[in-house]
Amino acid sequence: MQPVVPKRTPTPRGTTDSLNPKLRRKQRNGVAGYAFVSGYFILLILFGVLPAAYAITLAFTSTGGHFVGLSNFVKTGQDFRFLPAFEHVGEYLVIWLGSLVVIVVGLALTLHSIARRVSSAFRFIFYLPGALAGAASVLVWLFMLDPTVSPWREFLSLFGFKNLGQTILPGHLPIIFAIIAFWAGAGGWIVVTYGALNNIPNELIEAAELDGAGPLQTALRVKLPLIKKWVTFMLILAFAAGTQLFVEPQLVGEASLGLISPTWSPNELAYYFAFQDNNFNYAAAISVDLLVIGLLCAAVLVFRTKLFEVE
Amino acid sequence: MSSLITKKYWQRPIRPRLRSSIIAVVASSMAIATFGVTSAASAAAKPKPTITIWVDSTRVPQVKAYEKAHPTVKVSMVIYNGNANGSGVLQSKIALDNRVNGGWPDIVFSEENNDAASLASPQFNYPAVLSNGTVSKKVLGGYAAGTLAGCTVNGKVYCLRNDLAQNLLFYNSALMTQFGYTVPTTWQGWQTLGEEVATQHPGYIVGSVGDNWDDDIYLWPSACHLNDVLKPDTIDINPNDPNCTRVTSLIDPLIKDGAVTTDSVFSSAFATAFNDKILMMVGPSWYGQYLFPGIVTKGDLAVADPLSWGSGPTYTGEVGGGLWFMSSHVTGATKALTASVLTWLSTSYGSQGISPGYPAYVADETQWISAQQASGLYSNQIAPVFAKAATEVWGGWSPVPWSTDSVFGSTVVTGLNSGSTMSSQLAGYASQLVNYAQSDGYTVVTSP
Amino acid sequence: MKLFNRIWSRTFAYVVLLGFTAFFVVPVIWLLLSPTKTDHELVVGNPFAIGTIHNLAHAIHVMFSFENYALLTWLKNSAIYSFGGIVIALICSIPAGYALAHTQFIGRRTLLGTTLFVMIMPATALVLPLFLEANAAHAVGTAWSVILPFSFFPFGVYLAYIFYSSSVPKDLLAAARIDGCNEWNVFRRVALPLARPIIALVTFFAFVANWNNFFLPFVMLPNSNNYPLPVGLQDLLAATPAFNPGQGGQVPIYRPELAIATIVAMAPVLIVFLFAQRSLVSGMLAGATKE
Repeated sequence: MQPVVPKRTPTPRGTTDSLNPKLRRKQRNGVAGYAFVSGYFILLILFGVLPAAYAITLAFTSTGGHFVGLSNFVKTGQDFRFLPAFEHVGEYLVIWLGSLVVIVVGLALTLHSIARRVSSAFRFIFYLPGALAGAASVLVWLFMLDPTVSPWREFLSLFGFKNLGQTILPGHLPIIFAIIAFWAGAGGWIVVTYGALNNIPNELIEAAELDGAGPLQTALRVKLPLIKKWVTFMLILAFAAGTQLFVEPQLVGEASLGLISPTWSPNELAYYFAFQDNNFNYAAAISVDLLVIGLLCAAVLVFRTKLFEVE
Repeated sequence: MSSLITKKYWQRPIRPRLRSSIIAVVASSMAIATFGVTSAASAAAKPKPTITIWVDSTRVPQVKAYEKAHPTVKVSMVIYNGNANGSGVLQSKIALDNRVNGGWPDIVFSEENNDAASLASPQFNYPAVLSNGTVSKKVLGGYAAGTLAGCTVNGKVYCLRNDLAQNLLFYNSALMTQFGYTVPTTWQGWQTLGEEVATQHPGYIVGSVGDNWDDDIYLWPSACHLNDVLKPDTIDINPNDPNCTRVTSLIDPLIKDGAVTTDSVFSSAFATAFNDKILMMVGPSWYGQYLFPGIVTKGDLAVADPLSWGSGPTYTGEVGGGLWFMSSHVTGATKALTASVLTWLSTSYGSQGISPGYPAYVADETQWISAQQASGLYSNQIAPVFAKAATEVWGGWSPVPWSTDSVFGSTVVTGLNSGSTMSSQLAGYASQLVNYAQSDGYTVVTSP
Repeated sequence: MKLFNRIWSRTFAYVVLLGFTAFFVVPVIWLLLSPTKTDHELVVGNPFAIGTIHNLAHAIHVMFSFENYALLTWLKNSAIYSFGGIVIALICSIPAGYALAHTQFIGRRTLLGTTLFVMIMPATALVLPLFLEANAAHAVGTAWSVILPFSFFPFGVYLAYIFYSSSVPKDLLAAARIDGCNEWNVFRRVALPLARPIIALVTFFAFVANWNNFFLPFVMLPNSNNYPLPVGLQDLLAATPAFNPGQGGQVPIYRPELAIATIVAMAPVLIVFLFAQRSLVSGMLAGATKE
């Protein structure tokens, strides 16, 4: 789909220096650039890079601190809970990612096409569930999933569920977790996407309408391509968050008084290894597995959409 | 786009109001943050507490009572979630403390029965051994017979019991009289009664298998070998044990006929369907206080001895009961003091009659029983039943680092909810238990 | 035909929006109505029934006075940690995002990549090293052990970066440079004012992330007096009969009271959202060109 954007005549890069203008500007920009990122850089090293490096080292060492190569990865890979956990998350990811991106972008575009005040109200409503922290929403889902007390009980009875246990049978879990995660997470992403849409200059939209584009065409051919970077970013993070699913299985497990395995997802398994078995090395190995998967997806998307390039 | 450039936006000064409001916000936030930091720092700089005790909210009165009775001992109380529901909070904290070699709590209370095995394992190495003289033999002998088995790992006692949760048979005396039934004394008798109820009074139940602790209620008393630690790192898990299969064969027809429900006893479905329709139910002693009020008319509830399988000794199971641990990192004079605090918390408090559950320490039981009897909850004398059941808990269902309840819930209860029989789920339950055992380094044997 | 298309698409838009409204809002309505009923009514009555003010008052009273007004302590702690984290996060993230988008320096792309890398790393793995760092700094149990890690907000940096690189044209900044502004003034006088919507967005998301964060405070703060709301709520859930039937009987917190605690935890986030929305709506253009 070709974006419909009116051509811009390139303006010459302004310079005031005569000799080596580019070099001068680059130098000036370089120092300034470092100054601007310095605060963040310190925090990044302290709370991002160093802990991540430590965690990755843990994945390749044993409890005593000796280097053991890929042994941790092999051992965790052979654990009886490893494969089922990844299967679960695979199923979950397909449902979750697809619906998240399509629905979030669709809703944001829809909101953008209607009056501002009204769309404000809708955005607030869509965001409401996002304000519920994980522990807080246990109570809500205990009731939502129980066909005897839920506001959705007519809907649940269509499936023939008679009690909470029947609603959360293993086959239903990927869908249920996807619904819960979407319910809590969509609002935030809608806000971000709407903000992105809001930054599209009105002239472009008006120009498209003058050209005869209907609302759907404007949305798909003008607005969507212009928010490409935001959508890519959302995809990368949603993919990583999806593979690292943790909160939803925990809270439904708690709500059902323990009917769901505490290691349903790989991230839960990592947590279990770390804190129930006191084996931080195994936990780190699984975390690195998840990291690699997330990075692969990120790399593909970053390079395909040139996320790191600026004009 | 060109209209943007002509504005020379940067040449206008930043609006003064905006600037001052930004400054105000930043300043006040920093003030709040600093205040918070200094108050937190001053809280941390309080005079060093002598004994750090971690309890859940229900045990707070116990610690406060200790402080009142011993004003010279400095106690620092931390309220946490009691390690309930398999949350593993204790394991997380101790794992981290082990890593930095410090910061362990001196005494902790845990509601999680597996914690004796889990925390005493070499990975955590947290609780102090109590049977080597740290706690006197007299005190250790003062608990109901067999109850310290839940605290014993590889022959050593690692904790003291707070309260017990021995299983007994609850029944509705009014309904039993009304229908003309007699209280069964054997499991076979229970099944026969259940079949009668299913035909004569459909809608009434004699039990439930819908919660993840139901393995403790039905399999444990049958001396079923699915969780028997024979010697260090060797466990007996045998799904073909006749003691196990006889249980599922007994219950499956009752589930089919509706005399045993597959609803969770704390679910709204249960409360709605079985209000005053519970003819009888095997369950832990705390069902009396925490489950039946509200769904059994007050004064109708009665208790009877645990059911037996006919020949051999009568066993029962238990579901819960609290544990008191002491840190193994406490040394010297503090160790003796900590042990005395531990002993007091586990033994002396119950004599004040306000222990939440049936006290494990025998001397405390009388007061508690009188209080319960006086509450009007029960229609018969509960003392002999509770006391006898406390001594009958089978020692062959051992504390292990993994949660058998959790596995039971995700295999058997889930299977029941999708319409399978209990018998068909036994193999899956056992194989998951085997997985957990082997993953934790145990050798699995199968012997009846 | 065009008018018909317009009406049809508008109706369709509203139908879709209202459908999703129901999906998002029904559980919240249920939650808001819960404290007005008794625990028993919640279990056997109609989910949308409205209870009494008396029940509501009772639930509020019981919940707030629980454990010596623990809920208020948790609220205070949450506020301190969240705001402390936001201030530092904003000071560091917005300029960083700007620099990544509009300045050239060696390592620009590496920084972007590293930031993304750290965002994707599972938090479970980072808990132990963060704890070890805090322990080495003797900060475990203090507010700083929570506030400082909260200030590290890579998501905010990315929001600022994407905003600056897609919505603020280089020409605008170049023109400022032509006029003789140094880099700092270009940022302070051109880029920063234009970024009002993104500052609102980053503030909001930083606030929510900090307010709802469970794991970090759980690990860093052993003392229950220092708990923020999520950690306190987790303890609360374990103490109540609803989720801990055998042991929770002594604690008079039932589901209506839990609903109050949940609403208290939600409310500040929604209030901040409403404030942030106002800046969000205006958009970049309102600041720069709207006549």
